Amino acid sequence: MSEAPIVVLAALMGVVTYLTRVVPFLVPLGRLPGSLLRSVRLMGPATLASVAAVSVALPALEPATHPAALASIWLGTAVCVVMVTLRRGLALGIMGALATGVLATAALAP
Amino acid sequence: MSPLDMGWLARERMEDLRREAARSRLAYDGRRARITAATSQSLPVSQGLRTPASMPHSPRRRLLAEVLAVAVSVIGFGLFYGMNARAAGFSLLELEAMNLLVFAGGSQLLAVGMIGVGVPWAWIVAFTAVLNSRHLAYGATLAQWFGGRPLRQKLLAAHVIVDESFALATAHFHRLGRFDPGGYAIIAAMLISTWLGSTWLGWASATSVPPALHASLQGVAPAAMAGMAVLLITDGIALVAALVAATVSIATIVFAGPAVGIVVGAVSGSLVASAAVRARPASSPVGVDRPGVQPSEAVAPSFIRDATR
Repeated sequence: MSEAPIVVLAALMGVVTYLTRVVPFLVPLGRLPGSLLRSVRLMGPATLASVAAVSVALPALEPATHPAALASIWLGTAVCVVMVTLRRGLALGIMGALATGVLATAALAP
Repeated sequence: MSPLDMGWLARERMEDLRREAARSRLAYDGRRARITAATSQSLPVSQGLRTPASMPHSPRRRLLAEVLAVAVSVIGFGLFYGMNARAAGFSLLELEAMNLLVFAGGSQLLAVGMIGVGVPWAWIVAFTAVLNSRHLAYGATLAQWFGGRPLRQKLLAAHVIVDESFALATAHFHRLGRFDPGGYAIIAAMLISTWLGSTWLGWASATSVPPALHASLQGVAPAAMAGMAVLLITDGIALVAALVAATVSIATIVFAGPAVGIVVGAVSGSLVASAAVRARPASSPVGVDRPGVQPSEAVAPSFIRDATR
């Protein structure tokens, strides 16, 4: 992939992101309606859960995926979800997922 | 005017000055007590950090302590994002361009994941807008502190609004009881420098990672996405949104591919959860309107509140 397209994509992402940031400074929004804030709030977990679910499920549908990689993905995600749920800290969850991946690769890799 | 009158006036003036000083002292004590109460009880970012009793005299010092605590988590996430961006084929130019133009780690990581499974750009941009639309609530709160500031300053300040800067700045302003441009500049400089530096370091070190560790890293990106989703799940309705989204997206990719699966799943999850909210009896609105709740506490994600604990 050439460099230009990703930079263009970054620019487009930057424009929409900047708009969400600057509009309240230029237009007095006052108190935002509860329904709007609720919809905004729900799209966040829904989108991230959707991407996570696809990232976890997709390798299982590909026959070439090695069992070690599959175990690393599934177990790592499970460990991360449990740790984040219990401790409410993303860094710890990622470290747990990484450690799980190392163990799974060591145990199952050829 | 006789010398006697002048002496009487001088005494009166001295009494006025004493009364003024006493009033100022009372006002100072009252304001300090309010700030202490706010920092020790109400503001989420201050929870668990050094207590006001141990650092009572310098809000800037307290801000620096909080900034450093948050910087650690930013560095960790930046390293991880940089490695993933390298794995997705990003050049250094592309990495730093996205860092500077977007400056929102969650949506950047989301974009890297979506590029990896071939999601069309239009959807990536749309999801970026949706995921970052929470900045509207942050901006609405912060804009109140920027009242009367020059437009150029507002336009610049807006670009560094992220979860971390919002939480740190609102807590700092509440402690001071006023806007502090220097404090905001410290927050912005820390976030920009640590994000750019740590993502570069992650990108640069990605190729030197041993193959075994590289294989292990495959599971980290989905885990991070799932972890971020968990952090955004603050009640049953958000849990419904996430579970429906995950289920629908997995069911959809079998016959429609990952790109469509992500879109259909996310939209379905949000719609089903919103419908569930409407079906429930009216409750307190989400956001800044709850009485007795600080704006930062109402709209800041839980991981910001926990990051400095």
